[in-house]
Amino acid sequence: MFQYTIKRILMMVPTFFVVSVVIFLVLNMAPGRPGRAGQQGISQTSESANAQESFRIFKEQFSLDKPIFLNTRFMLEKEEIEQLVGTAVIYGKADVPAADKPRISAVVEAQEQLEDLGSYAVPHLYAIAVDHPDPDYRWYATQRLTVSAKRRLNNEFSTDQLSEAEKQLNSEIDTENTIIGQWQYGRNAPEAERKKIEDNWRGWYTEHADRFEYSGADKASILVLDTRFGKYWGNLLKLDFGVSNIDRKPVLAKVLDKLKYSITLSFATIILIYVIAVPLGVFSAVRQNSVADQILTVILFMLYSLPSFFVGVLLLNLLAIGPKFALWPGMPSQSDVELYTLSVSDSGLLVTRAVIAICTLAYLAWAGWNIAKDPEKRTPGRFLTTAVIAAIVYLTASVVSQLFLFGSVEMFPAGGFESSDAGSTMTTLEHLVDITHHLVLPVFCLTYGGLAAISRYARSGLLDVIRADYIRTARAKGLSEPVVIIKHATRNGMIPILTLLGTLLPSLIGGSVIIEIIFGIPGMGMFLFDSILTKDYNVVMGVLLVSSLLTLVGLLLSDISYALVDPRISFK
Amino acid sequence: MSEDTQEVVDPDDEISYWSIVWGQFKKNKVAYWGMWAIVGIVLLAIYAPVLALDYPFYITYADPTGGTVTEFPWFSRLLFDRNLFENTVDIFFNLVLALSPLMAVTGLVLWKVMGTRRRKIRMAFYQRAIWAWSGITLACLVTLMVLESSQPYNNYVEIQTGSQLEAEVEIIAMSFANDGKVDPVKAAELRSHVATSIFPLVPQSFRTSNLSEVESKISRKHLLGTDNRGRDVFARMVYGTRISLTIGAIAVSIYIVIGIILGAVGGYFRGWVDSLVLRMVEVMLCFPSFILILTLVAFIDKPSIFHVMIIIGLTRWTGPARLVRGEFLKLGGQDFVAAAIASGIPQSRVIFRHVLPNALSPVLVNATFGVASAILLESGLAFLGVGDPSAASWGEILNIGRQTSNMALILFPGLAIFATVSLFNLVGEGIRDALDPKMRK
Repeated sequence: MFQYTIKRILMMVPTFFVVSVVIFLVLNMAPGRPGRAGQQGISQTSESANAQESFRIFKEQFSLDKPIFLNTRFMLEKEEIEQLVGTAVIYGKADVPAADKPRISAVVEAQEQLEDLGSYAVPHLYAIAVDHPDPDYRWYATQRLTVSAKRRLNNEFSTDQLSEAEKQLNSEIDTENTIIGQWQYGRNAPEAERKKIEDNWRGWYTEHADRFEYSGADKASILVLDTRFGKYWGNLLKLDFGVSNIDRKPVLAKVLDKLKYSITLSFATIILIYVIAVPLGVFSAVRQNSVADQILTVILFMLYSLPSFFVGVLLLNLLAIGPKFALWPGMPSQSDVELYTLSVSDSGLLVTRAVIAICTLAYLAWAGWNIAKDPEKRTPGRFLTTAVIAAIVYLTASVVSQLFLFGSVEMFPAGGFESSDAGSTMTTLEHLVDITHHLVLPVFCLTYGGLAAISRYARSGLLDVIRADYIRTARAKGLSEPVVIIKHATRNGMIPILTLLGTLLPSLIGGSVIIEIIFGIPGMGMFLFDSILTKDYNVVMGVLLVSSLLTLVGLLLSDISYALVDPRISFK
Repeated sequence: MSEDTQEVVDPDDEISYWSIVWGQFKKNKVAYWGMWAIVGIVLLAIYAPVLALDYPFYITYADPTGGTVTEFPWFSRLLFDRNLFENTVDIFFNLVLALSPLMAVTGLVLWKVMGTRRRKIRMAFYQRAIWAWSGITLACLVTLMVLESSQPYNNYVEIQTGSQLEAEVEIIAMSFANDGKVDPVKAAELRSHVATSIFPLVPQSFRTSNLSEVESKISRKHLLGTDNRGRDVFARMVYGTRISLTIGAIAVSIYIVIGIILGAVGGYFRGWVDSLVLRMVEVMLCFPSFILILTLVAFIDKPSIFHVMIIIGLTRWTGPARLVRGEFLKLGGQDFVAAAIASGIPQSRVIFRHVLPNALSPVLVNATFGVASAILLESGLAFLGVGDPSAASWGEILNIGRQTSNMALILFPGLAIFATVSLFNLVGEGIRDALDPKMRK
């Protein structure tokens, strides 16, 4: 068993890796670019130099300047760089006719490509800067060199503590960068100034040329590691999911913070589903093809087809916010409710409640008498069922009657996970009650669909075993019917629905996106949706990874529990 | 299947597997009528413009030059006008609408002609006809998808007020003028000359926003009121059937095809191919599919309804793949497969003509349920506001209902989704019971 678990967990690793590759690929191939929402094409050139520089830093921070999977930039040819520089330069030339100039979007693209190439372009840029025949090329290449030749600081975008040696190195790099940054000139600078700066670059390059020569091992590591994917996975191994585009806070902490809401929601739902579905399934299997079974089948079938977002919106509007909809002509609208309540509430509500209560009591008495007079039916289970039905009928009738009288029943809060003052003024118990109160509607919306499916499976699972030989044996031994059903049949019949746990979890995580948005619960689903809208890639990656990890864990749990419950499953 | 082949029967009396299934299916009254209800929904989708459109079928007016002009604006320009029917799905259904009389006649003639032939020939013909028909339909849709270009609405006049007749008059006046703009003098002249016109049952547009009638109540003019942009909700609901049905059909066909191919290849060749397919299935299962689909759709710049279909199709193929693989593993050892291989038929033919037809029945059930869940998925996406903005989707109406707390906009689309989804689920259960020998009494 232990071995099996270990093996199963080890098998999750490659799966998870492939999952992360797929998510990564999809997100990075997606059109649209982060961090520049609403700015495209031409407007980029009119940005101030500051904005351009901050976008460059942004790209570096999120590794967006790197290729996605394979980095072949160490094989760059001088011609490619020359062409890019040419495209960037030709636009500003006075002697070229307008028709021959490239489109401005091509210029912007060339500039960005050069920017993204970073230090890999330095040798070629240097070659252009010092001995290209066209002075404009030399000017532009020098300008680019001042940015591209800068070395990156250690731990530039991280908050980790640096060691003394690293700090020392960083200050050296910083000094060098400052010096390099000044080695540029204007487009129409005099020849002498140009000469001086070119000499500076010559000296610098001969000193540092070894930085740009890559050995075979270097090339291999650049090919794989100096890519978006390499950087991302490198960080992932350190459990670093990156930071959010929006507020530069670490993604993992934010996701974990949101996870508690989603986990609460999902676990409450799963527990409720199983607690209700198994008895329902057993009940309808034991009474196969009875009227009760058929009614239950129809109801569950309808629940299965009801879209949860519809039910969510409907319940929210009926039971939490007053509807703007007249159930009959002359029904008070939302604004009139208070007025109306004053005049009618006391007498009207009291009378309806009393009528409903009397009817319920009459039903209870009648049903109780019917059960009590027949010794065969006189079991505690029957009394209990009758009482539960009566309670449900009473509650539903009161809510519906109030709905019809006033148009709204503000039974539940309009959204959120807890009241806004929950943390400060409430005791733990009150807090718990408050959260439960907030979660009733969302959990209901998430529960009923799964409930319908699972109870069907429970029914057919039990039907499969109820005709088995060992059940007949148990009956023949003289065991009482409840013992046969609960102890012998149910235990075996429920094995199939254990495996459904694994598939339930992903569908719950998916379904909770909509429910969280409807009910304003600040969980993972809502977080994901907001991040998708703002194109916050790191967050979306993080949430997707965490949710697929949860799914994997769910599958693992269901496999293990399956193996635990059914001794016929071997681990060999 | 296999027990039938043992007996020697007269070919004319031979009852095929599918006719047994059909007989079983017909016994389930609920599912049977559910199927007819789905046919009704399809007809509703095709004939949506007959029910709700703000342009007349037929209009007669006195020409400014003296004569009388009779026009059938629907067939002369409206049905295929990209400026009016922005969405390719609508254009497709309009094509079907325009061709439907022709198709009905052809179908009737073929039915009569084939009625005199022997049963076996007839059945074979119907089978081919169904295949050909689905092929042509799919080809039409794909062509339209490919042709879909985002033409700007350069000469569409958004008519904000006034009756539909005036709108039509303005369109006609526009067609008289050369520069594509309404000539007010000519329009006024025309308006005084209009003699007769016939409008659809509900003369309301599904996309024209009428800002003077925002969020109006249920009335005779607006059967289900209007939304927050003054669009008629009834008309939008009617056109919503088109979106839902297309989503269901196309997305499911995509993933069924992918699933069948992968499952068949894995189950037939076994070995490393099979384990590769299994790995792929496992990886796909790890994604919470709704989240994945949501992310993919939301990251597309201008998602059209076909993007949504393709994405649903590409992410949900695991079900049919596993089913087909299982069936292939089961059938692989049977004699007829060995016989087919031994007779030297190419492998692709063995897979697709010999084994696959026997492995299809569980896929059929899966597909029917899949249509229901694809409709749910699409309306969920539209409810969240991602998806095709030009599509009048039920989910989108519900979303507006949520934002404005307007009960009419919550109840009707919600119930429409519920009804459609449960019909497909009902039929799916019916087919499953009909296919499952254990259920036969």
